[in-house]
This record gives sequence, structure tokens and C-alpha cells, in this order.
Amino acid sequence: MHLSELTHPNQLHGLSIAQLSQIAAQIRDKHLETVAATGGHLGPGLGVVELTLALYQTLDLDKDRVVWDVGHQAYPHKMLTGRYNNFHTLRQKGGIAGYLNRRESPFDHFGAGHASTSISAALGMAIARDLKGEKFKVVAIIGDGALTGGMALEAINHAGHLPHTNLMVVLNDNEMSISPNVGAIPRYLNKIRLSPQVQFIADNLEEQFKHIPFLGENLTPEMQRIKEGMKRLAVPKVGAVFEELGFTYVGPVDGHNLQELITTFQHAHTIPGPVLVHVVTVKGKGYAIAEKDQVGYHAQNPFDLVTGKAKPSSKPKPPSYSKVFGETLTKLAENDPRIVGITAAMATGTGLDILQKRVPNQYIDVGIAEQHAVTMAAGMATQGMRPVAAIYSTFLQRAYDQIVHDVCIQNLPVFFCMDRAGIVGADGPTHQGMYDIAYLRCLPNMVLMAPKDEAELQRMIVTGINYTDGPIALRYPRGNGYGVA
Amino acid sequence: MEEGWEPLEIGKGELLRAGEDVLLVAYGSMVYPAMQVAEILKEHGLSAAVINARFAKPLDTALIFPLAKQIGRVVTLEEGCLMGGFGSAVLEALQEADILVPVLRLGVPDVLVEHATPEESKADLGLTPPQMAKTIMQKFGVAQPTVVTGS
Ligand SMILES: Cc1ncc(C[n+]2csc(CCOP(=O)(O)OP(=O)(O)O)c2C)c(N)n1
Repeated sequence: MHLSELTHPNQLHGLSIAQLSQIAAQIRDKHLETVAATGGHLGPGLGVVELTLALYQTLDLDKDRVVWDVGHQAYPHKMLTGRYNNFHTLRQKGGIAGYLNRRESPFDHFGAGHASTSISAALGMAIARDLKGEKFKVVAIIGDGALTGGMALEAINHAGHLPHTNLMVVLNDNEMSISPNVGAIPRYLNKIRLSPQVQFIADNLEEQFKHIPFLGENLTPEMQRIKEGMKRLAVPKVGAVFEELGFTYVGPVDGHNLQELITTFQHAHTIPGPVLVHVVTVKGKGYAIAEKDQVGYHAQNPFDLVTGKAKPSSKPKPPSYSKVFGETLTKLAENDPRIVGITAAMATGTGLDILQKRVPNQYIDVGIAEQHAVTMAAGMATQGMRPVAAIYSTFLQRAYDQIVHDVCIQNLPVFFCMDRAGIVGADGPTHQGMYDIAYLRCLPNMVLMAPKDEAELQRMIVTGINYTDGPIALRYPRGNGYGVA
Repeated sequence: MEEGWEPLEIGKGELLRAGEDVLLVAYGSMVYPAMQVAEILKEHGLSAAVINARFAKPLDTALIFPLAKQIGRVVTLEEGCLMGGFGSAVLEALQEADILVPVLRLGVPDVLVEHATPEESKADLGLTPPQMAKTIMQKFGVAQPTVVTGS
């Protein structure tokens, strides 16, 4: 069977590993060929080809629900759900969207674009299912980057105390956000990946004891003590943190081994309550250039498949607003130790990677955690620092109450630099930087400014740093300036 | 202070172009397009003043009010949602000051903007300079050319 003949994901049922491997190769070819021509996300999708195929072989997508986090890795999902033949229109006007969209396909069970929402949405579906007395599986697939977002942790906190609500969370762990992932949870995941697979020891201990013939159900006091001792010896169990939070932890599984994935998913579907399946994947899998430069090939403009190089555009362009922002802030930071640039997992996109390289002490990546970034900036401001929250217009939406409650009401001098303000293009409705003027203008104490070109951007960055009377926000568009000095 | 690194005065815009028939008040990325609109309007015999607002809050009412009163027709330009946006800010300020002149707000109406190139989206929304020039002429009932040129 060829991928082009697949119009419904249930056609994957019953295919052999060899057949699935062929389809995996066809997905990768189409994925690469398309993104090379249209631009779009590359590494994320290439990393989940086997995960998608194996998962869908164990689900009935006429009933079961799948929620992909962000949706930038869901190109394989799109190709398997009737959009293969149209896939060349990716991210172009009237074509296939770059993220999930309920209006595009009945198989896009929940729209996305922003990170860390999947577990909440999936839990909502699971609770609705149970209230309505229906029966189907609900699966959220979330990246290790998206797992750093507060919402994801809030959802885990909730799901973990609902032992009777069946919910599967697939953790797609490639160690990368857009940049290398940051924080204590990623460090913990790393520890799990590197530890030997001993998870069954603790699980089975009780059972094993019961099977020792002369003991049966009743353990003697000594045996009870030994058992407790052994239990203690058996820790640290792999995934213990998730288990303590009420999830059954399964994994880590090799995310590119179809057989292992299928067996694992089949087993995990039989476990009641919340289950977390930890799948280890490689971002960019199957395209050596993307595997090597995982940051660069998270997403790409049109490029040459053989060399991996961006298709040269006809004329040299003026610098981008992001670059001017990064350079200007870095220069100011070099002369002012109070300045701290804060990003929520968008070092390269915002231009703050320039600050990271040149003044690493005055640079912070908090992970995909816009809310935390803003309140942390407010905290710094109380101590006389000059925090600069460099967050895209669209992603700052997530930190609205933090802006109101922690920054504006206290009139703290936090400087918001909103890149990608205005019409953003191929990323579509979830990413339009359309609302910031309206949502910030009504807030007490807030100052709003926007430059006409990149030279004025530079002056406004100086203005924002100098202004210490209260909060101030600067919006500027995606793309290149006008070439004015 | 090194050139190009001078801070701006909070709440101060700049008048980029003087004119008599219509006042264009533009914010951020719409300032250069507003200058193009003014050029197109000139081709059609309309003289447009252009303000680079720089600040949506606080608004430079000291600059905007006298010109709005004197010229009597105001257009606001922004790359963002119209509801509650920059144009709303100008309207609210004019209304509070009892300067009751007609105002045309150009920006993104209450619709989803789907994926496309930014140029395609702007064309769909009527936000290219020739389209905006045409809308302005229609709104203010000035002589309607059959073809609006300009880039
Ligand atoms: C709220 C929010 N902030 C930032 C982003 C930008 N963003 C898109 S993908 C991504 C990294 C996601 O990493 P991960 O979840 O590990 O998925 P991977 O790309 O590694 O597959 C980021 C930061 C976003 N989509 N949403």
C-alpha cells in the first residue's frame, strides 16, 4: 500500500511492520520535499513518524480522540488523515494549514498553535466522555518543551488525582524545545532516559511475593519487613515522579522502533487511569542535516534538499527587526548590568541569542513559560533591575493576568518587547500578532509604542530601558526593516 | 549621546508630512504605507498630512487635536485589530475633547486572518496602499478615479 492510497487512518490497522516501515519512508519523503519547497516545520514532524503510525495502528480514529500539542509536528498526522494529495499546498493561502485546525479536518480533534494545551484539552474530552457514559480512548501527545509550560503541569496535577479517568499522555521527548530544552523537569527526563530499565521491579514486588507458594496472601511479619525493605531498595524507580503524581509511567521507549512502540501502546491502553508513555525520539530523524542542526531545522524557509541551504533570495535584505532588537539590547546590556533579557523558549526567534552569546549572565530562558517570565520580570523590577521580556505579541496573550496583576497594578518598570506584532503570514490565525494594542491599551500605567522602521526601533529600545516610571511595551513586526541606518 | 541612540520623549509623535485635505495618523508598521497612501492621494489631487504617532498610549493629543480640527477629516492606520486598537484610541480621545470630525479607521476587522503571505493577507483586508487610498477617497466622497495606481 502507498501512502497516497490512505484516506482514513484506520486503514493502518493490520498492516505489518514492513508495510508500516514503507509508509514511514513515504511520509518522510513527502514531508521533506514539501517543506523544502514551501517552508515550515521540519525536525518536529520527522521525529514523530513512527510514533504517529504506531499510535494510530492501536487507535480507532472514528471514535478515539487525539490531541497534538502545538500541532507543528502533526504533518505525518495530516498525511495519514486524507491530506496527502493536497499536502504540497502546505502553509500557502487556501492550502493545508501548518497547525491543527478543527475546520480543516474531522481528524483534527483539537486546534493548536500555542504550546502546552494538549493535556488540558484531552482531559476535558475524557471527563466529558465519562459524564456522557461513552467509551473511547483519549490521547494527548506533548513534547518535552511543551511540558515546561505551566498549563501542562496544571493538567497533570488535575489528571493525576482522577484515578478513574482513563487518559493517555504520550511524552515525545527529543531533548529539544526550539533550542535545547531548559529546566529541572527536562533534567529529570534526561536522568530517566539514561537509567537502566528497572521499572517492573517495584510494580511486581507485591505480586511476586504473593506467588511464593507457602506465603500466599498472608505475609509473616518478618517477610513484611523484608518486603518493605526491598521496596525501598527498588527505588529510584524510573518515572517515579510521574508515578507519585498519580500516573502510571511506561517507558522510556525507542520512538523509532515500530514494533516496540506498538507493543507499548497496546499495553498502555489496557492500564486504567492516567498513563504517561515516555517515547524517546530524535528531532529531524531521517534527514542527517536536520538531525545535526536541530535548532536551525526546527522550522525552515524553502531550502535545497541536497545541501540543506536556504534558497538564495534574489536581493540582499535589510536586517530583520529581531536582529536589530538583539544587537541593540546586547549593546545596552554590555554597558548596564541591570539589564536582563528574558525569553520564553524563543532565543533565536527573538534575537536574544545574540545577548546569550555576548552577555550570558544577563540572559534567561525560562522555557515555554510566558506567565512565569512576566511575573519573574516583575520581581526583578522590584529589586531595581531592568527586566526586558522579549515575547512575541501572540505568546504574550498567555501572560495577561500577570501583566495586569503583577506588573500594571503595581506599576513596575518591566519592558515588554513584542516581536511578530501584526500580520505574521504562514503561521495563520493562532499566531497573528493582532490583539496586543487592544489588550494592553486598557491597562493602567501601561505605555505603548511602535517604531516606523528599524532605526526608530533602536531609539525606542533605548527609550524603554531609560523609562523607569512603570511598565512600557514596544511592538514591532515580523521580517525585515527598510534598510534605514 | 551617540547618533541613533537618543531616547524619545514619551507620548510624542512626529509630523512627517504637512497637508490640508485629510490627516493620516499612522502607528508603527503602517507609517511608511501611510506615506505611500499620501503620495497616491496627491496624484488624485488630495493633500494628506501624515503623523507618525509613535505612541498609542499616551497619545500625542497636542499634535493630533489641532490638525484634526483644522483639517476636519481623520484616518487612522494600524496593523492590528480595529476593536479597541489604535484607531479606537484616537476616536476616544477626539470624542472626549468634543472634536467631532469624521474618522476612518483602517486595520484588521473582526475576522480571523488565515495563513497566507502577509502581502496576500493585507490585500484581502484592503490594507495595501492603493486599496487604502481608494477607501479614503470613497469615505470622504472625493472624485473617484476609475483606476488607482501606485505601489
Ligand atoms: C505559548 C507558546 N510559546 C512559544 C511557542 C513557540 N514554540 C513552538 S514549538 C516550540 C518548541 C516545542 O518544543 P517541544 O514541545 O519539545 O516539541 P518539538 O518541537 O521538540 O517536537 C516553541 C517554543 C508556542 N508555540 N507557544
